[in-house]
Amino acid sequence: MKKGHLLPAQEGVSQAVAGFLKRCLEEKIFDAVVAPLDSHAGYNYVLLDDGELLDKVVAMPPVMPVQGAKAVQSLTHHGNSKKIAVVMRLCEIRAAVELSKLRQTDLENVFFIGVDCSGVIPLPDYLERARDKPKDTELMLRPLCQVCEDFSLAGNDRVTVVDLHVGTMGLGDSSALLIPSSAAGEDVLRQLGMDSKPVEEVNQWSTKVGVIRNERRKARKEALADIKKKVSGLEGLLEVFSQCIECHNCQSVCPICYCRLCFADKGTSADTADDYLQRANVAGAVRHLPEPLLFHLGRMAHMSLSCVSCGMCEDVCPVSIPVGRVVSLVSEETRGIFDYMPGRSVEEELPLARFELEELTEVEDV
Amino acid sequence: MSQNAEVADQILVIGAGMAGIEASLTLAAAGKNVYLVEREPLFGGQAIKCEEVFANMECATCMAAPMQQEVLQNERIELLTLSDIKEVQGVAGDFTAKITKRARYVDSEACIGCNACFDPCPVSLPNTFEEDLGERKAIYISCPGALPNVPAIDTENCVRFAGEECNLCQEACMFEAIDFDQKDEEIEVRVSAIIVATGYDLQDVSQIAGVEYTESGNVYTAREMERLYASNGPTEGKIVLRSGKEPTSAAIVHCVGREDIGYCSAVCCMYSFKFVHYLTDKLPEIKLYEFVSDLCIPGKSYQAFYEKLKDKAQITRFQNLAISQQDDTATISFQTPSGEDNTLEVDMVILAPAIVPAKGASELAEVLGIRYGEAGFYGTESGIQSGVDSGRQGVYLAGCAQGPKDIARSITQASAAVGRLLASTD
Amino acid sequence: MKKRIGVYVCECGPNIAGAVDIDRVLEAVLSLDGVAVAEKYGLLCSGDGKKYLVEQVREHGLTHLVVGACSPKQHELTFMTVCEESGLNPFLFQMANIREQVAWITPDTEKATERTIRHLKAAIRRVLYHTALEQKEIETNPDVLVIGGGMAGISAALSLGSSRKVYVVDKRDALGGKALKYEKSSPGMANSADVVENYLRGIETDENIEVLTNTNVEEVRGFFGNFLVKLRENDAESDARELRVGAIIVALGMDPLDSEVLSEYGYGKIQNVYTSLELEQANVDGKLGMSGGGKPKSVGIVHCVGRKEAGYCSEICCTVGMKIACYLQEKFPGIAVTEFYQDLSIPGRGAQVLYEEARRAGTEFIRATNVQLSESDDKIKISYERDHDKTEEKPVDMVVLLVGIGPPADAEKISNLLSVPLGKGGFFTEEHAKISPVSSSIEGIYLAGCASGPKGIPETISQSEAVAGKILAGLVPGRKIETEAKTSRIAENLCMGCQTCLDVCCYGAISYNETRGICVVNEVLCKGCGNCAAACPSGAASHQHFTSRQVYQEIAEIVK
Repeated sequence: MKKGHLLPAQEGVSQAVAGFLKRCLEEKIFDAVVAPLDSHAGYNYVLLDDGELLDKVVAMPPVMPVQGAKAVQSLTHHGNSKKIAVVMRLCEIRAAVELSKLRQTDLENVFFIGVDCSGVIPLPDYLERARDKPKDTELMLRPLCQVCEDFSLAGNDRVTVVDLHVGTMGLGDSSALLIPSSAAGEDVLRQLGMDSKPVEEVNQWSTKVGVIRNERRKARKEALADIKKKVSGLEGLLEVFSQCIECHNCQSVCPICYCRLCFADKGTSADTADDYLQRANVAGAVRHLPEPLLFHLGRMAHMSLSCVSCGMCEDVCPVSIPVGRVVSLVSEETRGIFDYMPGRSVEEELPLARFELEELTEVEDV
Repeated sequence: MSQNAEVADQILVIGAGMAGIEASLTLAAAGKNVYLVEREPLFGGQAIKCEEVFANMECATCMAAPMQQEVLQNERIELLTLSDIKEVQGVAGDFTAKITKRARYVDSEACIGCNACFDPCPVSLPNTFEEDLGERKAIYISCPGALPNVPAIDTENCVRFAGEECNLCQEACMFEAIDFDQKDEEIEVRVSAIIVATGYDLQDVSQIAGVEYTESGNVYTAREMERLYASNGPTEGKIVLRSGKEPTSAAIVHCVGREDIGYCSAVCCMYSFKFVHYLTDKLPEIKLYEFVSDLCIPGKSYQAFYEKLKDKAQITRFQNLAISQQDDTATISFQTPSGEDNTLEVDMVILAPAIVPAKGASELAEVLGIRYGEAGFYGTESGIQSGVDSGRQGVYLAGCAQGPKDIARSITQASAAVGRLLASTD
Repeated sequence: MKKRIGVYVCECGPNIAGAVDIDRVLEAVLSLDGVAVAEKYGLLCSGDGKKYLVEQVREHGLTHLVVGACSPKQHELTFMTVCEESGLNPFLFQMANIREQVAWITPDTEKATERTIRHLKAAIRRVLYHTALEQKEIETNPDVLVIGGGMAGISAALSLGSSRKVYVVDKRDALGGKALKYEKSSPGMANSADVVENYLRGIETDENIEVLTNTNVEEVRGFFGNFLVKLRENDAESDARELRVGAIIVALGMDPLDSEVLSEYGYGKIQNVYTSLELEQANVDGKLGMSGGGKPKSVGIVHCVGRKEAGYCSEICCTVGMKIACYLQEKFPGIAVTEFYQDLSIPGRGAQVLYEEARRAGTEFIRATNVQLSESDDKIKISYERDHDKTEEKPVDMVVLLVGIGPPADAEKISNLLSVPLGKGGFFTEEHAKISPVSSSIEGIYLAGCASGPKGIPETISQSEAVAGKILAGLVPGRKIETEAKTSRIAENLCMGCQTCLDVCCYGAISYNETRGICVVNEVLCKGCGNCAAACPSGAASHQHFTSRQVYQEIAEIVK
């Protein structure tokens, strides 16, 4: 069984986590911390080294305005020599790991603190209805959060990059667990004199997580089967993306989409009106602006292997296309070919860039 | 000295197979001018007769084509096909070679290779390139894809050259490329060095004791098998016996004639297993047998190739083997290593004959003033050296003319010959 | 500048003229934007045809040329040369294949004409997006670095020393490699140590060859014609030495296969069981015999040791076994030598001669499988299965294990330094196993000897001389080399430094610039394969002459 340190959280998990982080800063275990803060601008990832500000830390914000991996990218892309603790959800940590394979994040001095996540509310819904009415719990989670299996470290071998994990599920409101998940994590607890034992609470936590995960797993299967039906065949594909206005919001917020200029904006085609008229004659009619299908298919070809199903894309789609679910479906199948799991480990190379001597045997004649 | 300085940059390469091609290309890259002499109407040697080559089953013609194209387009290389070396005088640094360039009777500049002249020709005869498994006309190219893509007239079989009135081919040509008045040319060249890359032939299987081989039976040579499988061959790749039937069983026999010939030919085990791939590719249900004496599969890649194919055939070690032909079958009688007598009847037998020096090798040796060993291959295998020494200064050897070897080693030896040649003139 | 495209359709005699309504084609393309002239001609590749094109380019002040004719494989080069002669950049040219791809595949004139128009329109549309490309020339350094001072290295050095400086580097304290350990070299049975001594003397007296023993290669940067090498002596305290060379030869040699399999034969446990290399060394040292000094009366020589585990045949062991039989019979007349082999691999006349000699001297050859050694009284018992599955036994005084050849110990280190991949068996991979066996895929880095696979000394020397041939031909002192014109480019402002392009480049042509955080293409090393352009998600990497825009335009017109 996993070992953990029971963190008393009478004033709430966020306070407990804040207290822990404060101690870390005081004892100079980290130079700085990145964590979600409840600031005047809503919930945002904030970089700070002032312990006082940690009082505003929110361990499990109800929304995800920015995918945490993008925050890590912004911070470390040009190098990082400071020891920084980053508090994030597992999907954000996994995306940061994927970005490190693409040299967009530098994770060498980054200490990851994962947090149990029960899901987030789509940002537009939150802003419209819940922000001023924090107790309104009738709001649904992001569709992808509803079917997420990687919300906790318990029983999860798909994320090996987390150093310390904050377990909250199944523990009631007044305690939380700090689960060390790497040598660095264990070291930090040791430095702070915090013991780490296979306490009963760890069992409680694992069990609760297991129950939720099973439900989610079933739901995910159904959701993907459902979207597969909707999106199958050219008809289905066109139908699902028919409302797309090519605003590229999905691409801007996706943590994996790191390109400065999206291929779709490069202006490869230089079709004239004559060209379009030709096509209209053959197909009956031609849409203007033309079908955005190539943008979506191309984007999937580029990033689906690394998709962590965070659901940022669906949050920001102004015409409510289930694009995150479509990409998650494609991702499941494409990475299945290579037995690849995005964000599992830094050493697991991206299939595109990896060459195996034995790979050629399937193609060889004999 | 200026004349000698010119000569220093001229090299003669005899034989335009893989070794000759490699030598010519390396020499051209070094800034030398090359006379590449080839006696056949096409070039590419034995390699281009294969559809695929071991161990990666690469298409042989695709592999050779870029090299051949370079030879044809390189201004420093003059390819003389249908040509023979008649005489060589001189010393290293200044040889004079007399070359007879036999008339093709087709203007290479005018001809565009449309092949329109074949149809009207009234003469059909067995095509030796296709091992007589197919036919060609008296005006012909050896096979589809032959380079240079210019036909030649076989005057021995052309009726016009026998005295009859016939110019059907000339009439069919839209480019006025056919010229019956062409004459054999006598060309004299001065070169500073010579590379001999005349390749090899296969042992005449009809001369092997105990082997019954006729041109109408069910016993085939390795070359015949290559042409059967070749997509540009007489059957366009279909495996059919001379009777027209598809074989349901075939035996591939290694080391036939090995005892008499007195050496191992290095490549036969590999191509014999390549034949397992060929036959099972076209006829998945065929029952195959490999009669093996000693497996010669050296190197880092060859054994893996063998391992992939060995389960597709029944492998039998033998001694004292004889082959006889019947109407529809062939019978192999042999002894197992423990002395037990056995026979096997199959639809088709494919022989892996020994590699012997190319026809005319000993005559050429006389012309060139180089020595050859007991088996007829040029140079010597004694001492510790790469084999490029012919015994005569200024004359180098490359490829199977020096001894049986695979394509990789022929190519290496060709570059080695050039290396030696260039180092000696520095 | 206004674009003026010249479109010329070759009649190719009856080939195209007879299958396509060329006049209709010319009419169709003349009306296109940018087309200044559209004409047909009998045979464009002829001397007259080429002259005609040159005149046309000049007369009409053409800025681009499109030719509809045979396959580009046949005459693209021809027409590019025509462009050069007429003052037009040869890359502002596009060729449409309307013979092999149209005229020769359908008898339907209507369809053929239709398709020809499509092909030409596509070529015209594409060529508008072509850019003028220049072929560059760079200076080169003709000197050579040889890594490894065994037979391969020293014979290569000797072949090259007369024309340039050659550095022979070896981590050991003397040159000569394994060949010094043999009294004779099979199959020719010439005196090996003597030959090596001769070679070494040649090296000593050649002023151009510098020998650096006890030295390691620490770093290699650069490219063909311009390598920068850092060497350092074994004693890590010493300073590094930097060299500039134009070519590098990997002549690292081999190491016998792992000793793990030897213990299965009782090696190390049973007395008087030796490996072939040990026996060779003992012979050269004059210490051939049993441990304790006695003379062996019977010897068993076991072939194919380690072959099953390695998965390949080491080529030379059979003849080495026969050579050893000859040593033993010479030194101990009357000795009974038995060779336990699986398959006799003895290609060529020379090997056959040695085999017959061994037989004549009384060597017994037994085809045996499942060879096992055990101690029995004061002899070694060899038990084996003959090919008729009968188990037999033979007691002998001494056993020699013919151990297979494995890759050199430093293979991985040097492979990483040079970016030359290791492949089958852990040996260095050739550029092409058949037609380019002494080159690696990195231009300017060559392979000779056992580093690329097991082989004997004659073949090793052949490879060394072949490498010398390639270097003598390709790296001439004072001669510049031409580089590929259709290289890839990486747009600095679009590149995010993800290095995906670097990962898929097989030629080491892309490097990452840490300061700027972007990838950069070395135009000299780039071979124009386009892998990087295909792999780059943002299109920062593009392949000149095959840009997405150019290819898209051609396709867009073809499918219209």
